[in-house]
Amino acid sequence: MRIKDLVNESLDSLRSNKLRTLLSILGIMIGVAAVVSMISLGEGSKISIQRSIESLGSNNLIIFPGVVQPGRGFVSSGRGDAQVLKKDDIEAIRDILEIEAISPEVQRRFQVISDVGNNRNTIILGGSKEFFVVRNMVIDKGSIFNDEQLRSYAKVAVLGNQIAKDLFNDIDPIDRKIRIRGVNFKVIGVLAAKGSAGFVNYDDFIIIPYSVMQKQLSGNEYFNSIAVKVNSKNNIDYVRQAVTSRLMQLHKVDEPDFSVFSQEDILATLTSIINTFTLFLSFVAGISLIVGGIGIMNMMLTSVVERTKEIGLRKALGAKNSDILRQIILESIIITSFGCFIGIILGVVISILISRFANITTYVSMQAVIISIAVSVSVGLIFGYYPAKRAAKLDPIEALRYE
Amino acid sequence: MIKLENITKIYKTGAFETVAVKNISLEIKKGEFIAIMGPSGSGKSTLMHILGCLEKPTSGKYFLENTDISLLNDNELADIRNKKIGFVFQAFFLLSRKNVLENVILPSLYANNYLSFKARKEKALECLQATAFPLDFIYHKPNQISGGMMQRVAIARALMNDPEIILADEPTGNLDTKTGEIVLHTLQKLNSEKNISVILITHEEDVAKHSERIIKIKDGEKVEDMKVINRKQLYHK
Repeated sequence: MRIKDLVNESLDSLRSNKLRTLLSILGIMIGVAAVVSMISLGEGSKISIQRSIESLGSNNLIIFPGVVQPGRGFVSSGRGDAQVLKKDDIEAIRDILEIEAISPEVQRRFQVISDVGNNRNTIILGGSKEFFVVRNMVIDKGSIFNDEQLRSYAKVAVLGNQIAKDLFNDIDPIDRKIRIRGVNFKVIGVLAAKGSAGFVNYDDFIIIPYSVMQKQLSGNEYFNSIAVKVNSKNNIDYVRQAVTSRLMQLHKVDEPDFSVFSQEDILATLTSIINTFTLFLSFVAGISLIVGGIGIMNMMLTSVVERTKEIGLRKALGAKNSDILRQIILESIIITSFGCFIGIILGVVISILISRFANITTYVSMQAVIISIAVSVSVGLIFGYYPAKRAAKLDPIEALRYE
Repeated sequence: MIKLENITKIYKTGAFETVAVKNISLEIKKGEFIAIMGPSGSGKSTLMHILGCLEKPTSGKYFLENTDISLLNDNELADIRNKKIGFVFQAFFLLSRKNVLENVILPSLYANNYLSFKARKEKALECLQATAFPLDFIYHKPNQISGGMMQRVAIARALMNDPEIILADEPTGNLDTKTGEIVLHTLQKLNSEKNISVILITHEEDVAKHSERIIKIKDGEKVEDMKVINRKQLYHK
């Protein structure tokens, strides 16, 4: 039988029951759209995490209080609660030659009110002037604070690009006042936009001298972390060892009561979390594809029973078992291909809508598209094969007699 | 052209054995018009299925143009059915979603001569004309035409691949006498003009009288093989 005739016959019988065909296509379409949008969500998150971590400066080491327990990963450690990092720790490692810049970080969330009356809840971060070097922050307007202001507990603030707009609308924020937990701060600078990325928006925070942060807002002498910029990528491991041994000496402990992460460690951990997350989501979406496949099998079985007589007739007229087999499998593959095609388009549209309205980066990778095509064509083959085999095995005499 | 030697067909259902056809030997010449007659349950349908290569005998030999059918596999049988045999059924068996033309074309889809669409259409029209089917109705669906017309479409379909034999199983069973007569005359015409052998299966004496030779079957056995005297016919060879 010619391929063209085969396709015509398959399309003809699919057209003969449009509603049933359409519903089967719908099943596959939803499955594929789910898979494509879930994978693109995962890929998008991965890309945005990468971007945001890279934008936070390269060759960085971050020292956190507390220890990550082996096998428990980076997130579940609860290390932010431990209080071991203080100003002494900075002094203890400052003279390591390979360290280019070093800044403590104290973070809290507070309600902030501007003198034009706008009100926002945002992250207040206490750092030194080197913070801007380590974290790769570029000033857009005004200036950053200096060592003198840090020492004298000056109540000055540098605003992230987004929060500056939120608090002051279009007014120039420089030299205006903001109020954090009842304390007035003078705005001295606004950062250049970094763009929102992944889970954190790096334009939505306010930087103040850590001295003021500790005295007025956090109320203790501990840091959430210490960020260190190493002068060269090659020295990262050396600095990590040097920092570890010096801090252990300072803390008088045999096992470190702190953790040192490099940018790559954090990136690798986050990527692996997102990969697991994506895999899980795709798996759930994949289940709907399987359900769609079962729907096709159900529909094909029904249609084979309904067409028993027709199949008998075709055999009497000279159709070989393989002609019948190929026609039924082709019907199933046509359904999945159609469903897959529309599903991919729908999946891309969903991804675009997610990134536009939920503000989450999505990325439709070729990989996601290829996986969907491969999976749905296999679904068509696998779930079409059994009904097709049954149809092909029909005895023409029995089939013609069938009422 | 057709030679049956001691054909026996036994159906087994569990422990029971039913002998449907018992030891039938038969010879049919090229261009012959024969009728196989018998009451229901006589085994004439089984015999037709064997003759139509839809089924293999349990024992005995079936030669169709010197090919031993019992040695062929399923695919080779399908090929024989496609090229050599045209079926006409009592219930017409036209595909309701296809129009008249598409129904006639159907057997050529399974032929491996790969005619173009145009050639197929021409051939189908030729076949429809041979059955005197009114060509105004070729784009109608089977449910839009009469029973007599449907049976002519079925005959045209049987002609599509230029068969050696037309096997007609009670072709007039669903038709009134007058329409039935027309269908039988069409078969006679094809038999005499195109020299196609016709094997007619029927239980009616009157219908059988349109053939040249009647073979009577009873309880699976051939009981009579006689020439028809006073044949009912419009066309003469």
